[in-house]
Amino acid sequence: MIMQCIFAFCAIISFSVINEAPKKCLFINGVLGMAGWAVYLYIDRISTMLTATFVSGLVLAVASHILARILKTPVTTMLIPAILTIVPGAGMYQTVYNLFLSDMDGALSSLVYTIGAAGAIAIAIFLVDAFVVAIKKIVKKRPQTD
Amino acid sequence: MDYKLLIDTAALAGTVMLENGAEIYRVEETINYILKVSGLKTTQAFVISTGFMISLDDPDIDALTVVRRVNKSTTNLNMIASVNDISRKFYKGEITLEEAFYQIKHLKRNVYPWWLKDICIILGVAFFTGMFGGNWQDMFYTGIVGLCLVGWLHIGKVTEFNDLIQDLISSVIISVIASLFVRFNPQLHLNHVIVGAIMVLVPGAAITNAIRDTLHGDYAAGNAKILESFVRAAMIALGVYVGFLIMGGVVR
Repeated sequence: MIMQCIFAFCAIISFSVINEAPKKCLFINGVLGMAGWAVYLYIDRISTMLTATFVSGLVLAVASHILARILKTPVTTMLIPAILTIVPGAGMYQTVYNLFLSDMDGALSSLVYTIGAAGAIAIAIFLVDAFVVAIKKIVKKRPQTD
Repeated sequence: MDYKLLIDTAALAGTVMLENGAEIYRVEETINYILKVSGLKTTQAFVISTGFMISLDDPDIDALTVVRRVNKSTTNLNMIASVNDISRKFYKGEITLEEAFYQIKHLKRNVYPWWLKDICIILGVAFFTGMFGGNWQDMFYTGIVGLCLVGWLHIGKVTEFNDLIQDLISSVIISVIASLFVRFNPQLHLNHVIVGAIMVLVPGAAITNAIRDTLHGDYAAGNAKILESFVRAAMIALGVYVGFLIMGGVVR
């Protein structure tokens, strides 16, 4: 499990390089990816996969909003690479695999899981973004640097 | 102030941001920041995912309007961060209009050399396999799949296929080669190898932007991005399926 988190760290740094993330963000992105994956693995063990995706997405969104303000860089430069660990690529594959074996029940359940996971990520980012907008309006700092 | 240069700078900043995968609200915000420096009464930016219109108007001057069509759509986070930075500096008065225009015009596209990115694709897919619980052997073979993927991506750049076809063929290659490896080495885990390898194709940027655009009320752009991520995901899935078909069934 620790090894998996370390692999997540390296994978997200590689992905950041592929997408040309600024150099100052590389290490932070790796740490974010690792943290997100650790949270996911831990909660997946004690709860369901959808809860794990949701909580992990929440943690990543909050962390990247805070770090983006500290490093003075757009939130996108951290959120896009970091969120990749919990994007349901595996679910997509399982759906196709089950379809190929003409196991319709399996295919349907993996499809529902995939869409559910995408929805969970969406709601997590939605919530955090909405709160950030609300906080911004309350603070009313005019020139933003995010 | 030279309004013509100002609106050109705003249009250039918008084009660069939109081409490199920024969210719509960020493009609008950046254009507005640049235009507001003029102090004119009306500054408008209307941005959709394939182009934008911006307008600058005041009772004293003739209205200036610029329309730009944006065809390219890639993900380059560094360009977004740089243009964002330059526009904010310009807004605060730290740099002049000419400097801002020059800096955006001469931004360096690539922070990392192409070979480093290729190595990162190979290492990246291997690490994703490890992340999903594959063992060392799985990771090694995924790396080889990644190498073939890199080869195809270079060929694909020359052939200039449509993005969707590129994704489709990439995932066909991944699933064919992975199935081939599993056939010769039954100890490999097919699912770990394929899931790791398709992670670099998954439209993560489109998904994230789709969510954020929709939240900010940009339904047109949000819808387009959602459609893009669905279609691309479907293409990847289809490619894996076709790969299985070519290899004549799944080896467990």
